[in-house]
Amino acid sequence: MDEAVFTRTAKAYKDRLFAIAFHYCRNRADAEDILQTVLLKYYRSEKEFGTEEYLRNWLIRVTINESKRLLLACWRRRTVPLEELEEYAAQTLPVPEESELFLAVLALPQKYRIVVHLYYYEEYSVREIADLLAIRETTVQTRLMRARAKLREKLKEAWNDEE
Amino acid sequence: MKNKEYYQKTFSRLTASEDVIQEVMDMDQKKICRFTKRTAGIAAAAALTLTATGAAYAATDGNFAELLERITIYINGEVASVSDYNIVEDENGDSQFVIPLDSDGENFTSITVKPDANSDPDVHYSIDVDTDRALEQAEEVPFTLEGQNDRLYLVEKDGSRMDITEAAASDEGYRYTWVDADGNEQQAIALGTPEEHFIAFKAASVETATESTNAAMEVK
Repeated sequence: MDEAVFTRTAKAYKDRLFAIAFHYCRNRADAEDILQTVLLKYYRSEKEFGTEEYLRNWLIRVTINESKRLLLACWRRRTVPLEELEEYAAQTLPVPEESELFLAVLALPQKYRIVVHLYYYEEYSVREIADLLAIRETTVQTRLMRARAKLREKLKEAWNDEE
Repeated sequence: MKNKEYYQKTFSRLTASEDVIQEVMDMDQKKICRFTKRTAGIAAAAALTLTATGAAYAATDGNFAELLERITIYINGEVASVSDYNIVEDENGDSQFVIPLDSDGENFTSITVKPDANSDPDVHYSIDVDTDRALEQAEEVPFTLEGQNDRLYLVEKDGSRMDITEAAASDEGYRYTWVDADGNEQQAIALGTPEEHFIAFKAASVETATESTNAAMEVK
């Protein structure tokens, strides 16, 4: 792949792909490993992506798959202690409300976290999330509903304008 | 502030290192091979451990790393890369080796190799396309492992710590049993050393072959 094209795409997407990976593995080192693998696949890919939307969906799908692969790898420590996340939040998020949301989201079960992120950050529709994760739309809706309830319970009035 | 705005503002602060772009361009095949060997080496120890608990894998005498080098997997007629695998136990306590397959980077599928007393274990296989349950199980494990001062500790959710260095290094590993939210008994096995450790867990079920994926496996 042309280096200029790769660099432009990698710069445009690296942070959002990193955020998706982080929602799975909840630590910086693993998320960067996943990002590196995804970008390497893209760099070596001979695919014709056509549209920006197709490229974005492909990169996100590959990030999700690589995240799952890393989580299933038997040599990896399976869970990240809360203290590590709190430390990371303190370094990365100086505003207390943001730190609270960050910790509340990352305390959700993994299957809720990724749905919440794709919905609120990537602004995918329920149907698009169902396609990306290969699950039913009703499952996405249920996970979103339960995740919102948990976030409301934890964040109180800070998370209060849910449709 | 709207929830979406609040969420986006918060998570836009997660940024990846700028170096990753140059690293990808510099990356060569050698690095990938090194990763694969490391994974295989560690998992080989796990295979030996689990076979010692009675889950025999006759074709390989428990050395799955050896098997990994001998197998070629085809997806839709094309050779698929085998870079990693995961060990689970089924409800009967038999070890199964779940190999994630990467045919084009886009589709996540895994192949499950399991011993079958009624057929040649070298060629018996099934396809598992549902990895979400395995991920959920990994999340439900109610403890973490921490290596500290050359000792390996099991840390429970309430913060209590137990030194399991010797047990985790043994063939059987350290077995931890708990009852999940649905009232089912679950078990995870802590294995390894203070430097390299992991948790193996039992699989509640493994999907059988799907007809939509044309997969085949050859063993040299």
